[in-house]
This record gives sequence, structure tokens and C-alpha cells, in this order.
Amino acid sequence: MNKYFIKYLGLLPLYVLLQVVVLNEVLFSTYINPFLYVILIISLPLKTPKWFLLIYAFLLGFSIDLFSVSLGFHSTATILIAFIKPFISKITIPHNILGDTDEITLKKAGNKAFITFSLFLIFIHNSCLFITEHLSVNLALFGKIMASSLVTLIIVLITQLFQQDK
Amino acid sequence: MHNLLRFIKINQFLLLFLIIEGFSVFLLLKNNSYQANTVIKFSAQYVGFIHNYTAIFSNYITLKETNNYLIEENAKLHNLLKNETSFIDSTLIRNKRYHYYPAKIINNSINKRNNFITLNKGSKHGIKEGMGVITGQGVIGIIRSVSQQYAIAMSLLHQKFYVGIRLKKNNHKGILKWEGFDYKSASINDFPNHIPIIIGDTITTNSHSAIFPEGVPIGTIKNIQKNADDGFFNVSVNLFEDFNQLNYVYIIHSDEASEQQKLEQKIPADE
Repeated sequence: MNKYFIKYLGLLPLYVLLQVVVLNEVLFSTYINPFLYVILIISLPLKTPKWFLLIYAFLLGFSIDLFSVSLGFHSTATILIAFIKPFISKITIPHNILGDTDEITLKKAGNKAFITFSLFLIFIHNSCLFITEHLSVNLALFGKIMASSLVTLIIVLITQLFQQDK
Repeated sequence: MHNLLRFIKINQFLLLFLIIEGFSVFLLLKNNSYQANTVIKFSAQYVGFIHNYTAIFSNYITLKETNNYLIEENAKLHNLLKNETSFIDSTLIRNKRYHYYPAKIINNSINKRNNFITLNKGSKHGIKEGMGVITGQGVIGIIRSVSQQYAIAMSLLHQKFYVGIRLKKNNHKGILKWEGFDYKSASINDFPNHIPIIIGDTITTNSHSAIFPEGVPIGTIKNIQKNADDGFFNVSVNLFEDFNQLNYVYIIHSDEASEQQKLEQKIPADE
């Protein structure tokens, strides 16, 4: 397990930089802002100690917040998905597919399970983030949540393809 | 005691979640407070240089647009110089009180609800909190936090940003703010319905502000809608400035603004 702690703590600055320097700058439309850093929470192994999961989520969200001057927004959303991740994984990923220390990837979890699992988490993350940001619920906001979730899912799947090549 | 410890042990995940999430929500709600300001200051100081590096790259790509913009601005200034009579225009004389500091944008966002802009000028260059940021084509924001070399400005595309405006043709006043989705337009709510306005009218800043000079162009009226509840107009405005393509801006500051504010503060609000 210690191996994963070090690996994920090392990946954190990489993904934060990728998010802030590349993805936040590339503007597809005002309705679409992909948040790739969510993949770190998605792919952490199922049996990760829960305290690590939460504190890691806080570190991740807080560093994104620092860069985008949006104090608290990203960390709230990221901690929320870290908290519900165990429950979502119970209902979407079949038993016995993943070992306790396996990372959750497209290859290991299977296409259907991985896509539903990550779509759930991404959708909840984006909803929490955008609703706290806008403090209102209307059709345009719903469109923004849907569009961003789908694009984030596509980018997450692309990163998974690269992992399979290894 | 034993039961309490057992309760904590069983529910440690939930409790830790509540503590951390509570802290995050606290940060989120206190976005305006002293703590938030120190974090924004930290962000300006240590995150600014990373954005500076990426800006070098993106500036190279936008060289062509920047050149065009500068040529147009130059032509405008030449025209102003040529018609010397325009110096008699009261707005120009009034604007002379303002100092202009040129600054380059090194980070900008337009797709969040609350957007901020990082600029490459800081306290070393004389920038202070509360100064205005404009371009030749519109109001951009207000400086929110300053470090030695960088400054962070609250963009016009922010929930808490309001700017006083007037119709160029008949001087009627209103307040402009951003609705949250489209970066090309903003809106004026509660515009009195007896004022004759038509689509295409130009809107500029008014003379009430201590931060922005009078007569900075902002945009043209795109759409007028009558509010069914109170009969006021909801007006949406096409902004002249394309926030997605911002590159160079002016930070402006007036020595007389603080005098104006001091005088206005002397009168209690309930009088």
C-alpha cells in the first residue's frame, strides 16, 4: 500500500499542473471545462485507507483552488466524491473483479463497470462544483454540468487507453 | 467514555469527512474574509510565476492579434491628437487625473462563475488594491490582491462585480453586472421603462465611480425585455471587449479618488 501512497502523492503535482496549465487554458466553449484531476480519485485502489482518501482529496482540491483563485470550491467537490466513492463502487463494480490493491482502471474493471463508475463520480463532482459556484439551478447550468461531465469522461477514457498500451 | 471512543472509531470515516468538508465549505463561504485574502495573496505570490511561463508561450501565438490591437489603439490616439478641439471636451479633462500603468495578462479565465485575472505588475511597480483595470474597449476589473511582482484582479465576469453605466445618448444611469454564462454579454436589470432605448445604443461608464473614469466604452444593447412583475426593463448588453482574447490592459489610478471617497464617507448613510 505504501507504494501507492508515494505514487499518488507524486502524481498529484503533475495532474494539478496539467489541469491548470493546459486544460483550464484550452477553451472548448464556456459550457465545457474538463476536470481531468478527478481521475486520481477514481483510480485509487478500493482498499485505500479512508483517511488517506479524504486527506488526499483535500490536498488535490485545495491545490487546484490555489491556482484558480476559487477558494473552497474544488476541494468541497473533490472531498465529496472521495467520501461517496466506496458506496458508488459497491453498486457499480461487480465483486471479485478487482483485487484489494488493484488500481481501478478500464482494463481491470471492465468497460461497462468503469464507465458507469467514473461517470457517476464525475457527474457528482461537476454538479457540486457548478452549483456551489452559481448558487442557482437552471437549464443553462444543467447543460453546463452535462457537457462538462461528458467531455471529462472522454478525456478520462483517453488516459485509460494510454495505460493499456503499457 | 468507552462508548464515545467506540463511536468515534466506528464512524471515523464519516467524522473525518465532516471535519474536512466542513473546513472546505467554511473556506467557500468566507471567500471575502481576511483568511481568503491571505490565501489569494499567497496565490499571487507563488502561483504567478508559473502562469508567467505559460504566458510566454501563449503570447507568442497571439502576436498577430496584439499587433493589430496596438495599431488600432495608436490610430485612435493619433486621431485624438489631430482634433485638438476634443481636448476641450470635459470628459477628457476629467480623465487627465488618471495615471495609466500598462500591464500584461498572464492568466485569465472566462468559464467559471467567478473569474480572476493575474497581471504581471505588482507592488514593486506601484500597484495597490482597489485600482481599476480597463482597456480602450471596456472595463475589465478591479485589483483585488497584490504581491511584489504580480496582481490579481477581480474580473467583470464575477458575481460581485458591479459597474455603474450610462446611456451615451441621454445620460440615463444603471448598473451593469454579469449573469454567469456567456462571456460576450452582460445585463442591466431594473432599467426604468420610460427611458427611450433601442437595440444598438452605446453604453459607457458613468461619472459616479471613484475607480473608473467617465466615458469608458462598455458595449451596445443587444436585447430589451420587459419584466412582467414590475414593468422594468431587463437589458442585455453585447460587450465590446472580448475577454477571451485579452492580452494587454491598463491599470488606472486617480489621486483624487480617495479624496472623493473620504468626503462621501463623512455623511452618514441614514442622513
